[in-house]
Amino acid sequence: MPTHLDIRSFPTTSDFGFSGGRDNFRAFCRRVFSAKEPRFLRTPENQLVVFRHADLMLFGTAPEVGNLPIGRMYPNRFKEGASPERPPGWEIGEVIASQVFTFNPPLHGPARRMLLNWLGPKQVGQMEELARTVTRHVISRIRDGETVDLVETVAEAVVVGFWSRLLHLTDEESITIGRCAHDMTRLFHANRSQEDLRILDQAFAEYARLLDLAAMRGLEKGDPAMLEIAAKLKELDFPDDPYEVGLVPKSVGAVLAGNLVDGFHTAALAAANTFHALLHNPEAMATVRQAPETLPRAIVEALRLEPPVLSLGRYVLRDFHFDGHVLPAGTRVTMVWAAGNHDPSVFPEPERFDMSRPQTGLTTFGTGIHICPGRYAGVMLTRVMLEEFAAQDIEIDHAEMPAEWIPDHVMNQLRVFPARISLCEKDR
Amino acid sequence: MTDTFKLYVTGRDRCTSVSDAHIGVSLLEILRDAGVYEISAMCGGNCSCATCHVYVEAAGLLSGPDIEEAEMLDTLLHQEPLSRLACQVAVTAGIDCLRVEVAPEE
Repeated sequence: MPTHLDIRSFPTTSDFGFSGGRDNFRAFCRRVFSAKEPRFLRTPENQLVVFRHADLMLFGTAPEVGNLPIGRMYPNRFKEGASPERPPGWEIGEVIASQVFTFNPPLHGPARRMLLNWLGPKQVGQMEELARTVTRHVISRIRDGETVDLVETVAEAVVVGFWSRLLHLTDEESITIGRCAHDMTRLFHANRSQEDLRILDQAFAEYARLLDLAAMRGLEKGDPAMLEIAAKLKELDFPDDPYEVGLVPKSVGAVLAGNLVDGFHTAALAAANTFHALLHNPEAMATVRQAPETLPRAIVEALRLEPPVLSLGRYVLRDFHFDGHVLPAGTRVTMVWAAGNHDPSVFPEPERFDMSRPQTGLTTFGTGIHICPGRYAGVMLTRVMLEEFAAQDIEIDHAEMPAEWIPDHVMNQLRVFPARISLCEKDR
Repeated sequence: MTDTFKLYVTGRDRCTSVSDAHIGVSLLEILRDAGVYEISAMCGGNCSCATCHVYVEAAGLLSGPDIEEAEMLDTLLHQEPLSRLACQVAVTAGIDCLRVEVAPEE
């Protein structure tokens, strides 16, 4: 007879010193993986916390464990007779409701394929030249010997510039949406304040307005990608079900806004974190400079070490039976994806940068049917940035000011990463 | 008719290994049983990540890709006429030999 998993019996993440943020996370991993127990943890709100690699794989690939539906994320929003007033956080929900990470079957599969049809490896490969052009422009604005913040001046500038150009945004709109993406960082604070929500609502509303404009512009110009999304969107014939399946996006603009939050925001983290990992591993940096064909492996290892996402929420759609336990439908689960990459039973000496280690079983982008569909774009942008710095013989060195990670955050995000940029002797 | 078949696998290092494999499960499981660890299958065999992309020589012996698999294959940089997602290939009776090549990483 299976027994109900008693979530309250597990220690909390804070018992192991984890409240979010990168430095905190590293210390947490060292502590929690020093013993085989406990198997699970819980949040202070009694959500189950899954952090061991084997369990991340088990839960991540189980059809019973789905995405957190929008109606469970914002329970008051869809209630019968809900107040017409828009409470703080409303605009965030407006955007997130069209995000594939809030969808479950049967909507999830076709919606996800609609995105992959735009952002799959083949399609992203065709976007590479644009990424290169944007990166060269960003690099051209940096002076020899200048100390820059690699987060804002390089990673965010390239990522925002790339999406803006791809989506026909003007320079002015690009600056505005870049500011919105910057403000979206507050979405990932472990404890959001009312001030965070106010700023987030403004940022999300403006961001959605601009992407709606971008979609309309793309459709008017006959942009094949936008036309394809519009055609695929018409095929998504599912009734709205906020509590499990999700809500079909109401427009191409809604598809873009919902699903490019990570494009505009999190892709920049992937690039900045890769720069950080390589800069702190000079041997690896030297290897990729001498043998550029090793760069893809270096990026995978850098993102294993410094994945953009620390944890994400999931939701048990149907009773989940495993190993003699049952986890009842309706349970909320926190998947600490980043911990899978630091589980020493799979990745020995997990804090060591080792490009030669096997690169299977990574949890950088999640696993299962909900694995991040935008990962090819994020990795391509990161690779192009590094390739362009190398092609122009630009050296990146530590600055006097240290890098600073955002504490109490569900992302592994640098607030600032000062670095000294210098051209090699032969180019002066 | 036997329930085993000869499996030839060419890895990304271009080396080919041969083994006896059992019919009745997905090609992904067969490859894993044969120790082909370079296939990551990040989505766990759910036709969602295409990281189990292989080229399969067995014209006419296997059922073709369904629409979901075909759509996933269409997104791949290294798509070829013999492309399949190993997680979606059911290896059934009537096959005595299968040649599989692991596709390059995307």
